Amino acid sequence: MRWRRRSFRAMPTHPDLGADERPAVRFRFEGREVVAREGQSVGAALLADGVDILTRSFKFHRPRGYTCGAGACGNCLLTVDGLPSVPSCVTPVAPGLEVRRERGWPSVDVDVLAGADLVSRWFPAGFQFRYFRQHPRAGHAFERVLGLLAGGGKHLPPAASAPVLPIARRTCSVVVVGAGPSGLAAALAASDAGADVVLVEEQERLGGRLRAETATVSALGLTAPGPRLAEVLTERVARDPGITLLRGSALGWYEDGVLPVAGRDALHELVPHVVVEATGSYEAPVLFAGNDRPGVLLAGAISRLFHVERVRPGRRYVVVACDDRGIEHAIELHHLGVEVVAVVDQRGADEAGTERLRALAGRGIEHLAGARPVRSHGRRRVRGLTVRTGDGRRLRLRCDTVSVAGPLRPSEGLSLQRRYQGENRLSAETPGQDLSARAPVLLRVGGSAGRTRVQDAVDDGFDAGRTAATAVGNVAPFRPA
Amino acid sequence: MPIPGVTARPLARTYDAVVIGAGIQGLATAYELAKRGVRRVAVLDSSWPGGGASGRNGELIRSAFSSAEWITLFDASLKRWHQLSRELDFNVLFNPSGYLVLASTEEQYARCRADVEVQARFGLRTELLDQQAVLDRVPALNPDAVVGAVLQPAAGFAHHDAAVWGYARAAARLGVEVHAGIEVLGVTVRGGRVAGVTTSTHDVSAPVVVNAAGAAAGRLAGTAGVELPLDMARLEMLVTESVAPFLRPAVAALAALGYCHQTSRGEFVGGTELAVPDHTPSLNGTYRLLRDMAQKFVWLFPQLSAARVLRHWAGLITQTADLSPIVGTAPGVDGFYLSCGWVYGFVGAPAAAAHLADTVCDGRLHPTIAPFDALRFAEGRPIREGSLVVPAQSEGPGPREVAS
Repeated sequence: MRWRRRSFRAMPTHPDLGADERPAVRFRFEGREVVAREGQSVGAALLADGVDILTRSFKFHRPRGYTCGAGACGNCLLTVDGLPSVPSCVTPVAPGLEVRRERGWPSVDVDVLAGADLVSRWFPAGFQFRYFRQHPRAGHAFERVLGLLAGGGKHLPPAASAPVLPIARRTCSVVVVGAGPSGLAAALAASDAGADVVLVEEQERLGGRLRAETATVSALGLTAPGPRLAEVLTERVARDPGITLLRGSALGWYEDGVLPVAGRDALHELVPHVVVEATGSYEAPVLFAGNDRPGVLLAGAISRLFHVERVRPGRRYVVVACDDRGIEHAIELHHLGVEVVAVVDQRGADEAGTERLRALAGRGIEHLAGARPVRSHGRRRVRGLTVRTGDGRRLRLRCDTVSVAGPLRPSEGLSLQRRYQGENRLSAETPGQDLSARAPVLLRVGGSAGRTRVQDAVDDGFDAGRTAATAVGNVAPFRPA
Repeated sequence: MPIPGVTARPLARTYDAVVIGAGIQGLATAYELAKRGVRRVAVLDSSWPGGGASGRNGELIRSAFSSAEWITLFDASLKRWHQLSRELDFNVLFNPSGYLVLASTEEQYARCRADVEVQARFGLRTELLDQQAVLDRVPALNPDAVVGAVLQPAAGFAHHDAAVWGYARAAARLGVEVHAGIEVLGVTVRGGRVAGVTTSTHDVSAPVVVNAAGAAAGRLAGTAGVELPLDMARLEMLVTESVAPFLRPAVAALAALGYCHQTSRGEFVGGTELAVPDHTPSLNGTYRLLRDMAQKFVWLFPQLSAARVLRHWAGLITQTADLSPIVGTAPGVDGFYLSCGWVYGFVGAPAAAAHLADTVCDGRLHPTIAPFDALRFAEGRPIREGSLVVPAQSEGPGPREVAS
C-alpha cells in the first residue's frame, strides 16, 4: 500500500510552480532511507513517503498524523537525531538525519496499546483520582506501569550529547516577532523609519502564509503571487542593514523588560523599547468524532503541502467549511487537479455568496449547506466522512482526505502574557494610538490582530512598522532592577 | 460550572466555626473539625480551593528534618499521607518513592551526617548515602553535583491539586460549606473573644475563627489586633513535557536551592530559589527565575537540556523569621486560631490540621503543635531547624554563573 500512496503523493509538477527541480535529500527513518526534496519538512517528506501514522495519542494511543503543518498541534512529534518531541512538520530535512517515532508498543504502526481506546469508557477524565483510592499500594504499581507508557519512547538523550546554549544579551529599539506577511512588512517599515530592528522567526523560510497564498498581493509597489512576494521581501530584509534576523522562538516579554528568544545557537535576551507581535493566526479545528484520524488535515496545512512542500496528501477530498475561506479552498484544490467530493458548509444556504456557489457548481463540487461533519471513518487513515445535511439526512461521503477550514484564531500568546504582567498598553489598532506616555508598547498586527486576508496583514505591517519607529523615541528604556 | 466540593448554598449569618482560606490548611482543618463533631463549619476563600500556594507548590513530602519540633510534626503528617487516599476516599496520588536531600559540598555532607544521627534518635528511618550510592539510585544526576545525600525511603510526593480536591470533597460530605469567591475583609473581636468575620458579602458571626489565609494571613491577623512577624515571598516552579522515567525519588538539592521530582506521567516538576528572596506580591512568573531554574536543573540533570518547558508559574508564601509555621491559638484573642507562615505547608497540613482541630475541640494546645506558637518570636525562643532548602544556606559550588 505504501508504494501506491507514495507514487501519488509526490508532485513532480505543479500547475502554477512548474516542475520540481529541488535536489534530493536522503535521511534515515526507523532503519530505512527516505528520499526527500531540499526545503521539505521531515513530516511532509514522511507523508509523501506513505507514512500516515506519525505518533500516538498520550492516553488512548489513537493514531495521529500530519495535521496542522504549523508546528502547533503535537500530532507529528518525532525523535530527530536523538532529540525527543520535535515538531516534524516545521523541521527541515537535512542529509543523514536519524528520525524515529515515539510511543506505541511494539511499534507506532502496530500498537497493542491502542487497545486502550477500546476500553476508554472505563478511563474517563480524572480516573486516576477515583481508582485505587482504597488500595494505595496497588495504585503505585499501576502508576509505574502507566508511567512507562506515558513517557513512552520519549527518552532524553545521553547527557554528553545535550547542548547547553550560551546566553547573549542585547538592546534594540524594535523587536518584530514573526516574519510572515505583516512581520516582514513591519520590520522593513520600522527600519526604513530609522529604528534598530530585530526580526524573530522560528521557521526556516520567511514569509509564513505568503508562501501558500495563490492570489496576488501588493507591497512596495510590486504586485505578485504570494510566494514571489515572499522571496522579494525576504531578500529586502536580508539586505537591510537596520534589520537583524534572529532564528528562534520568543518566550515572552517579562517584567524586567527582557524578551528572551530561544535560538538555535544561543539564548538571546533582547531588551526592546517596542515589540510588534506579528505571530499570525491559528486554524481552529472543528469538532466531530474522529477529527484526529490521520487524513483529517487543516486547510492551511493542505495548502502548505501543495504549494510549499509539493506533496499531495490524498486523491479524494471533502472540505469542511465555516466561511468563504473553505469554499475558496475547495476551488483551489480543484485547480490543483484533485477530486473534491463535497463542501460541508456549516452555514445556511443563503449565507454563502451565489457567485462562489456558482463557481463550485461549475466545477462539479457538491455544496452541502447547513451541514455538519458527524464522524470520520477508517482504521489507520480516513476512508469516509459521515455528515448530517441541512435537512437532517445522514450522508456517508467516500474520501481519503478531510480538509477542515475552521475559523482563524489570532495567535496572541505574547500580548496576553504581557497583559497579564500588567504593565503595558495594548492595541490591535495601531493608527491613532496615543504613544506619548513613556511606557513599553506592544503592537499587535496582521493575523494576530484578527486580519484574515493576507493583503490586509501586509498593509497592517507597514503601518505598524512606522508607528513602532515613532514610538521608540517616546518610550523610556527599561532599567533592570 | 460548579467547582467540586464548593457549596451551592448562600453564605449564612452564623456558623459554629469559620475557616479563612480554602487552601490545604484550611480545608484539612475544616475536615478535621467536622470529623470531631463541629456541626456548622464554613470555609471562605477569595478565589477558589487550592488557588494559592496549595496548588502552586512543589508537592514534595518528607519528615527527615533536623529538629525535634519539625520531625515530630512532619513525621505525624507523613504517616497520615500514607493513609490519606483511603481516609479521604480520593486518590491523592501519594508516591512513596523516596526523598533525597542532596549534598554537593563536604560541608553540606557533614551536616547531612549529623542530621541522620538526629533523625535516628527520633526513630526515623533515613540513610546516609555516599556519592556512588546516590548515583546508583539516580544515574541521571551530574556526578559533580553529588557528594552524598540523606535518603528517606518512606517519603516522596503527592498530587497537590488532588490533595486539595480530596479534602474539599471529604469535608463537603461531612457538611462543611466551602464558599469560593468570598473575600474576608477582617476578623471581629469583642471583649478579647473572636466574634466572627466581615466579608465582601455580609458579616458572619462565629465563636471559632481559623486563619489559614496563606499570603493574606498576616494582614487578616492584624485586623484582630494580632501582629504576626510574617514576610511575603514569591516562589516559582516549572514543569516540562512528559519524558520516559529517569528520576524516581524526590530530590532537594542544597547547593541549587532547588527541589524537584518526576511525576508518574513523566513530567519533571521543580523549583529553585535565588540567594536573595523576592518580596514582590505578584503571581507573575519572572524570566529571572525561569532562567535560574533551567540552569540549575540542567546542572543537576544534564539530560534535561533536551526537554521542553510546558509551564512556569509563581506562588506566594508568607514566612517567619525561623521559617517555621505559626500553628495554634492567637495570643490575646480567645477563639481565634492560626495556621500560617508555612514554608513546607503542603507536607505539614494533614497533621497540623488534625492537631489544630484537637486544640479547638479540647481547649488545650496539642503538644505536637505547641512549639509552633505565635509568641516564640517575642519571647526569644525560635525553632532551630537547619535542614531546610532556603536561601540562607546558599554556599559552595552551584551551576556556573552566567554573566548578563
